[in-house]
Amino acid sequence: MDILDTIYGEMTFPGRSALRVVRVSGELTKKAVEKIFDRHSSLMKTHKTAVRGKLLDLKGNTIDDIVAIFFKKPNSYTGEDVVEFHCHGAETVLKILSSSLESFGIRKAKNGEFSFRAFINGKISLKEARRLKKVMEAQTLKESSAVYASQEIIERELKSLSETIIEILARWEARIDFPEEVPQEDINKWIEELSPLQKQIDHLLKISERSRQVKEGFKVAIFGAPNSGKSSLFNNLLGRERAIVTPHPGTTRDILEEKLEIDGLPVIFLDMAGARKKSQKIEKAGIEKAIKVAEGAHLVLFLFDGKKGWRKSDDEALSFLKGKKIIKVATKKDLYKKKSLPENVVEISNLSGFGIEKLIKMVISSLKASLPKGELLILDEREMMTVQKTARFVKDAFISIKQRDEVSASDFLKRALFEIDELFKTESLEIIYDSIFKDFCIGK
Amino acid sequence: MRRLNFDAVVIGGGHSGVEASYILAKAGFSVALVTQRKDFIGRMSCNPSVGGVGKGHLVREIDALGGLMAKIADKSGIQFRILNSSKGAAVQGLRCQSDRNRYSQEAIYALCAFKNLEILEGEAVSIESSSSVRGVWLEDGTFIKTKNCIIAAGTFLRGKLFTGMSVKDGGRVGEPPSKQLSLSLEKLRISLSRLKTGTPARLKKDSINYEILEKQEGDRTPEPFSLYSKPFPLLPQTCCYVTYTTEKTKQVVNKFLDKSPLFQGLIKGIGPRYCPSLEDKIVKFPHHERHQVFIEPDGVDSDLVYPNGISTSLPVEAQDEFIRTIPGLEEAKVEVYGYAVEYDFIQPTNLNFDLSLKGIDGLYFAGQVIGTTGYEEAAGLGLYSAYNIIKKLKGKAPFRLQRSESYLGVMVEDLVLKGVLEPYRLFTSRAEYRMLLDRHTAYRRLSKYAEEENLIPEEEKIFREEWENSFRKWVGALKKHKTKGGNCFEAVKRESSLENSLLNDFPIENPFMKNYLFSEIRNEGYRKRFAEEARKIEAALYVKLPKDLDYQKIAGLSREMVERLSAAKPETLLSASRIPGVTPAALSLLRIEIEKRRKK
Ligand SMILES: Cc1cc2nc3c(=O)[nH]c(=O)nc-3n(C[C@H](O)[C@H](O)[C@H](O)COP(=O)(O)OP(=O)(O)OC[C@H]3O[C@@H](n4cnc5c(N)ncnc54)[C@H](O)[C@@H]3O)c2cc1C
Ligand SMILES: Nc1nc2c(ncn2[C@@H]2O[C@H](COP(=O)(O)OP(=O)(O)OP(=O)(O)O)[C@@H](O)[C@H]2O)c(=O)[nH]1
Ligand SMILES: [Mg+2]
Repeated sequence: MDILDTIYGEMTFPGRSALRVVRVSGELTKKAVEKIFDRHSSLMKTHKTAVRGKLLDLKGNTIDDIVAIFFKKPNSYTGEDVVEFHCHGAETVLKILSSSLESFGIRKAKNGEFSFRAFINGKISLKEARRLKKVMEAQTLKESSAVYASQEIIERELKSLSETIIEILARWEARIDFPEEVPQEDINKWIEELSPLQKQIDHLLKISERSRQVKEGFKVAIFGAPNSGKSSLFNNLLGRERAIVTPHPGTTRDILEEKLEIDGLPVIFLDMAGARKKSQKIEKAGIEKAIKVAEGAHLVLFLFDGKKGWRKSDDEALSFLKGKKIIKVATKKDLYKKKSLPENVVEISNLSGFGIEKLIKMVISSLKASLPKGELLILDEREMMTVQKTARFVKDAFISIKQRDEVSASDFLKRALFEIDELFKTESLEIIYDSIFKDFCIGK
Repeated sequence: MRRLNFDAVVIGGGHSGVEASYILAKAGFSVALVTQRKDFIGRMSCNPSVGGVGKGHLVREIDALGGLMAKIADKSGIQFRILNSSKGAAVQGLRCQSDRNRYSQEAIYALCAFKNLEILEGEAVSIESSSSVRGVWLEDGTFIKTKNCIIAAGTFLRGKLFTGMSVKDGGRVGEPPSKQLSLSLEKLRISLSRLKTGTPARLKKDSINYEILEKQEGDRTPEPFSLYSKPFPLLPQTCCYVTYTTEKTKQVVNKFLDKSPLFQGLIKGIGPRYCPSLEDKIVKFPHHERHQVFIEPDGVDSDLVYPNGISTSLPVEAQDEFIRTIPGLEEAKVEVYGYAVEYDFIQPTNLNFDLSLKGIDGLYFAGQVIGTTGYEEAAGLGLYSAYNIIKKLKGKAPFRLQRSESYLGVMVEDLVLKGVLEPYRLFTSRAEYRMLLDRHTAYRRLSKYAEEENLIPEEEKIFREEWENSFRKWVGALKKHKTKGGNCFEAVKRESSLENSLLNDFPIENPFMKNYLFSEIRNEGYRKRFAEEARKIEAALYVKLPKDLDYQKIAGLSREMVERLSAAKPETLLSASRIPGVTPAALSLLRIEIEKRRKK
């Protein structure tokens, strides 16, 4: 990433917010503002003050009535010249603004890049930068509040793990490096000393697994025969007309993916082509893909036309999805009264909205049930990697010690420790020696 | 007047200086070894033994690099043992008891064999230099012209000896300190600090009651330090004895604490935590009922023994009294009293990776004077500095060993990058890759470097090649030979108890070959994995930092980081990451800086 470019980015969560804030940071900010904000001269004289004016396109046409704030270098968040545009929520305004900015050579910021610059320019500590990066990566509100709690908890967990390892290693390395001065122990004792680590590691792995799932989001595939109302449901869930709906079967060909926050959980809904056994050539590829996608999802909503009822072909399609969590959904409830349907079917109507709330509740409770128990912590990439690598080395230590190889076990344990050191930039080897010379009388 | 002009001058005939002059002379350069007394060359200041866990590894590496220590330790050894023999090969340490006088004689003998090496008895008093070395002045006014000088003055620089509250000048018992050299170094704006170490009394051999003591024998099949040593062992083998301090000993020591220079604050230098004095042990571990004392022979014909474990700087009368509270030593006669020595040393962070001083070309330091402790560490550093002078004289790039390749590399990097707070001793745990650094593989790892400088004589080269060939032959044979569920190699790897039964089919006579082979089989998996890991990490971290990097100009670096980095001048990102206190944030900034430059 080239840190000298000027960058822009939307600071608000994409979704249904009324106001949208776009931040621009870097050398080119001033030049761009002159062209696209009518009261640029008063704006650039101020610092940290809201100035109301008109957002213009490159031809000088007004596109929005906005508020802009200028933060003068180096007293801005990033340490560079920064302007924030507070626009009205329309998608088109954002599109025009983005393309204007890009015409000045200002590029879209990467994830966490504003914080990264703040860090580079000495505005925030590394720790703060990492935390902010996590907040920005956080996809849902609940996630971002979890981030603040997480940092401390995860650090505490890792520090406590490293303390346990240091304690074990101090004994082990003392026995290894000072065989004449330190009492030697049977291998079973070594095994016994290592065992408390297992619980700590399992706990950390669970936290990291939970975090990974929450960060990635839960995939919910909308699956079913052509024309069963998948795209209609998809649109209903999103609250906007994202997918094309027609009365003709085979309308949807590609896979559509949208992320939503429901009850604090990031959920990715997937709409796709209808699954039908005997079909025309074009559709076939789409259907194979659909089955694959459904297989990779956490949950499948299996749709069928409630008026037509459950059919043999539905059974066949269902057979492709063995072992998946499935909710059967009968659509078009508005078109029929009573019908004999299989057990555990949710009936909905995409037209009247009947049953949709109930379906959403079922989706959420099903997803939550699949989440590993415990509080919600969000780890960033580095923390996740540290946990994973540390766990792997600890596991290797267990394997080695069971093979009565205390040297390798001890080396693996040291590697586990160095992984944590790497994250906190501590030097545990010296702490091990301190502990050895404090606890054992070394020296002939 | 004789022509006094040498390729290199070595100051100090201790373990470091001996190894350095040996290597330089062996490489064919003209060398002067300046030392205060010729007959004290290679003298063991403290315990009459060589090796141990970590240290023993180092001695093997010295041998693989064409050095001297292993050979003379083998010739003067009177008991050989492998420590940690029940643990994995990686941490097994070779150790021997030495005939103190014989060791020193062998060192002198080895050096005298070189026509291109001259031993000059006398004291070096100053280094003539500006930005590079021009020569060395001796006390008698002699000037030796040279461009390369190694200072290996051990514990002698402004040395002070402490026994009780009386302080004497001295580098070692019975030998004067070296004061002027310290002054001369300070004139060159080299800052010196103080460290300390100590040694126990020497006792009359026949004043000890051995009957009530526990005997400690050497190994039945002793293994030499050097693969090339033959015949071996040379001297008759002896044994050590073990006894313990008593409650009475504690009382006596406590009684005299007010006359301890250590506890009364007379000694300012910091001593090694791994070689504490008896008074240290008793004060720090009051709950320990007793402390082990090894009665070690001082030599075949010597009438002295060395009581290992009761190093002290208490006054003479305290020593007389506490020694006699130890079972077996009730009638002990003291020949020389124990003492502590405090001396000047130079923080090794002032040195480049080739052990030359930053700022003065050709001025090298090695041994205890750069903050280490132990004969083996000293010898290793002497050899290392000599290798670098050889490279310099031949106009080649400096000699550098990786951490994953040798303990010597670990030690040098630890010293130069981190500096020392107490005298540095090598432990196996200091190495990240000790599975790769066992004694069996030392030759495979390092002899190539010696051969590059012609430091291995033809007959040794042939011998070693045969040794490795035979090793490979056995590995091949084991892999070919089928047994239940695979070949023999795999079988032994899975089940180490099979080793002995297998030997019926494979008549490997040489016991050391057997150890080599089995260690290799057992560790093959881990070795491969660690070697791969080491390779990757080193490749990533050996990204070079630009030489002209001005840390002050890197935006975002705190002043503290600028200071640390400018002082250490790390060559690579790896080195930078190892500097204490350097934060990951600072490293990220360095990485960005390198990226930026690359783009330009
Ligand atoms: C009292 C005492 C206790 C010790 N205890 C321990 C211990 O418990 N454990 C341990 O591992 N190690 C111990 N050692 C350390 C061990 O002896 C040293 O690590 C080792 O000898 C260092 O080797 P060296 O070559 O650096 O220096 P030394 O062996 O000290 O040799 C230095 C040489 O330099 C010569 N020299 C110095 N200045 C000049 C000059 N200006 N001109 C000419 N020649 C000069 C001296 O004459 C001497 O020959 C102890 C040493 C002493 C003295
Ligand atoms: N009355 C009624 N019509 C519905 C309902 N859901 C969907 N439809 C209609 O059914 C037709 C097909 O709907 P889609 O949502 O496109 O169905 P689909 O499953 O996505 O179809 P394909 O993409 O072709 O597989 C459209 O005409 C919808 O208006 C419902 O609940 N009630
Ligand atoms: Mg559709």
